Amino acid sequence: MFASFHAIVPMLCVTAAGFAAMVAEAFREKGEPMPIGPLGVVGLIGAAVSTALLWDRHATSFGVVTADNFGLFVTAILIVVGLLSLAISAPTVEREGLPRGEYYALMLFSLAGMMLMATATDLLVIFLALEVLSLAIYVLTGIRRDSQMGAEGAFKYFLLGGFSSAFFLYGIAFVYGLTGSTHLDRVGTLMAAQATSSGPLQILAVGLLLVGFAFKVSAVPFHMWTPDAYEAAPPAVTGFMSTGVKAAAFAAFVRVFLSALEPLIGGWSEIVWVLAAATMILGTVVGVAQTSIKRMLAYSSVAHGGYLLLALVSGNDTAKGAVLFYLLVYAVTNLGAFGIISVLETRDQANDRVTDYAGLWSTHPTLALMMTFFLLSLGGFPPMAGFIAKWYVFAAAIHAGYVWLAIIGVLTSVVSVFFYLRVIVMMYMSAPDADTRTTLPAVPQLAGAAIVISALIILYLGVLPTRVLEWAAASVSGII
Amino acid sequence: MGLQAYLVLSAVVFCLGLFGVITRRNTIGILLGVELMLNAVNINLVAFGRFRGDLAGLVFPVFAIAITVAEAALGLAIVILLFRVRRTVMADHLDLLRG
Repeated sequence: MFASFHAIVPMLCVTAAGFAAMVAEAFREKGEPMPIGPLGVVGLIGAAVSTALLWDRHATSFGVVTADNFGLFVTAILIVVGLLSLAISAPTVEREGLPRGEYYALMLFSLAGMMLMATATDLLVIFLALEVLSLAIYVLTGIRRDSQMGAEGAFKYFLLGGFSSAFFLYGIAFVYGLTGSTHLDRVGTLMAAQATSSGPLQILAVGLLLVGFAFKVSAVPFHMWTPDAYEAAPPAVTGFMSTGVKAAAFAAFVRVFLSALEPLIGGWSEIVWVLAAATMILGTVVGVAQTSIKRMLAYSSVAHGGYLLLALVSGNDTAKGAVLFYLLVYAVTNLGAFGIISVLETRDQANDRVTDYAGLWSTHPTLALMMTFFLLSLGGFPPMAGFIAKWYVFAAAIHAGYVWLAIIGVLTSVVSVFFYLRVIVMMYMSAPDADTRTTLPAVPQLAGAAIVISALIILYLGVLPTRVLEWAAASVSGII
Repeated sequence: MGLQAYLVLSAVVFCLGLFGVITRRNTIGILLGVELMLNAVNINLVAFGRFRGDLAGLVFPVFAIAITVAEAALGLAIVILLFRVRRTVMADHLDLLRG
């Protein structure tokens, strides 16, 4: 009877660690140090081992969760995101005096939700997973309870999140009404069979689902919450949510739209085309005007969502593999960049204006070098991994005949280099303000190690990407 | 009454919620709008389940209601937090984050 639990073991490990963190916090004496963060690491290692064991096994739990290689690849990305986020969070939690148990428990529950979303094959379970991950993230956004910005950001994120959930659920209701099922493979065949008889309702259902997903992956015009939430949350949380949520949401997006709704591709591909183009252009153009690095990276994250949409609209197997590789590269790079923002923050100063980074090369040479790696990778410079990831996405688009979209993608990445380079120039060529030299804090070891590891991963993936690319390409076959 | 009547009812309630979210200035009013939208979907689900004679359609709303309740609790908690640190519940006063 335990065979049916196999596919959800990675999530169970993470959830168990989350519960352990809550219990540990509850029984902790005031002021007593307790290694709650390492509990999360234990859970994530358990998840990593079970993911490795499930590889190629195609286990299914209760008919609604399928641990196929596609889902497991995303789960692996999420485990990396989780480990790096825990390491980056540790100094923030200390410095801000955040409630330790709650912080780590919420992060772990959210990770469990993301893993569920990546492996779920039933629309209702995808919705539940989406809510599990979102509810935890809303709280994490406002976890600095005395911060005015934190409360405002959490409210805006919550409001638009709840709003989009309503659209998503409405879409599911119509899909259920049309087909009598919410299971993805049956939805696909039934929707295709009645494509002519129930046109308008079908368009409505697909459109509502699309709006729900577009909010979660912050596609233009549904991106308004992104910069606010990213700026308001502590940078460690921002790093976590900008990467984890995107990975989980895109996994479900690919699963729903490229397998279940693939028969209707003629109906939605043009809409996604427009979304992708608008997202790439607006994310880049507005990003240029930002003075805060957090907001700049928020718009950069919007633009990266556009590149992923470009892969989604291409729709072939190359594109699905490209999405997986891109998600991995983007996750590691963005977490590294937000890790640096996080260690440069002090209790009363965000230090997140571009001018605060002036002269970083002379005060923190290693951090400046790492930040250069991350920004160049985000901009898509060889030999960083970001270049290979973008290359594959654009190649898939051209292969599928979306030449114009690929051209827009290349042009916007060229423009985006401008705002990444602006920070780099600031770091190397400007003299630091007299007072920043003293206000920039020392780098905590654990977070520093996480940043260096992220940089090494993107260098490795940039120079020797073949093996991981092959894994990504192999994972997309047999996706439900 | 046929299925269509229920679908129209749910669409009307959904649009009322949507209208509330867009026009209300009070954050609690906005939350009510979101709740209305989510509950409109429940009407839709129950109607489809009933007319298909399918139990699954009656089970889905139970999940949906549980999620809605969690969202409402969290939303009110965030509004209370907002009031504590900002002394306002009006949405147009929330202008610290811009750009």
